[in-house]
Amino acid sequence: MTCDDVMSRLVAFIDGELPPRDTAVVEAHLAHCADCAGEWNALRQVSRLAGAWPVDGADVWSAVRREIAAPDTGDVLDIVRSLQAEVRALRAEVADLRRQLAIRPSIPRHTGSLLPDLSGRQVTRPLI
Amino acid sequence: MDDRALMEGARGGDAWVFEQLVRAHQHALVRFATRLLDDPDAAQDAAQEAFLRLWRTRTRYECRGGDLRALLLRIVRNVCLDWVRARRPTDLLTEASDAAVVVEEATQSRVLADAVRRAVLDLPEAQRAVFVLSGYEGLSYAEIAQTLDCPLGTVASRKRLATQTLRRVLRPWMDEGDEE
Repeated sequence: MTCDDVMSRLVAFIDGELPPRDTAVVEAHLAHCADCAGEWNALRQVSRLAGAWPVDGADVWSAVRREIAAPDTGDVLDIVRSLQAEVRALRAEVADLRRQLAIRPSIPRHTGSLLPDLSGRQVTRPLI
Repeated sequence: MDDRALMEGARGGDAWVFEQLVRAHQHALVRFATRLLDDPDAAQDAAQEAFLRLWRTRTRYECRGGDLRALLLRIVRNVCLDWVRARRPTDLLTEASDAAVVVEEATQSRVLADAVRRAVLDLPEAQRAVFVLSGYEGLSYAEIAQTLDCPLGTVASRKRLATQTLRRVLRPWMDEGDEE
């Protein structure tokens, strides 16, 4: 392995990402090549210096909880769609029943009201 | 409880289980987003958005071993990229001048911290994402490849380029005995 080959592998070597065979070759090269060993030390320092920029994590659960506790628009839309489908099915069923009633002469035509037609009749109140 | 078990519980709408999932990953997501955006408040918003997207799609998500963290980090990165695209150039100029004032008043350690921060933030975004995930969050190259949806060799080359750039920029802070 030439110096260029080793240099191109140094970062992966430092990260422990080289295959075992390459790792052994790079280790052997660094033992006798001052230039590559110097570069290796410099690159290792990058990791150490990078640690000088600390960043804290943060708790976001409270904000997430508020959002997921709110009604889910997707769920509401699903319910609305389901109800609309049910209404369509009921309308079709009612239309079918109306058709059946219309073709049976022995049954009087439905007036549209669930109460008997009492127009023109005198209504007598029960005594009790 | 591992990610798979947590996700199974969350799939049924169990908020307590989802809370455990959020608490397990929230700090890593916020740190990652902070180092991408250099804005802790926006970073928290990005992490929050990532969790909410996961919650909304929980019934469609099938958790395989170890890929939940990758998924969350990927979502956070996408949210951050959207945020950067939407940010106005004037905001960036204002922040840069504020940072200069801070540097003047800082101690030596803060000068170094700011130099590292600026050096990392100046990296091309793709290199920065790899460097942060590897150098700060400790992900392996394979995990980064899964997170960023790119080949393993691309991860290795981006990490190498990023490290070499930082090596040049941070040379003044390096120990002389360790230099070439």
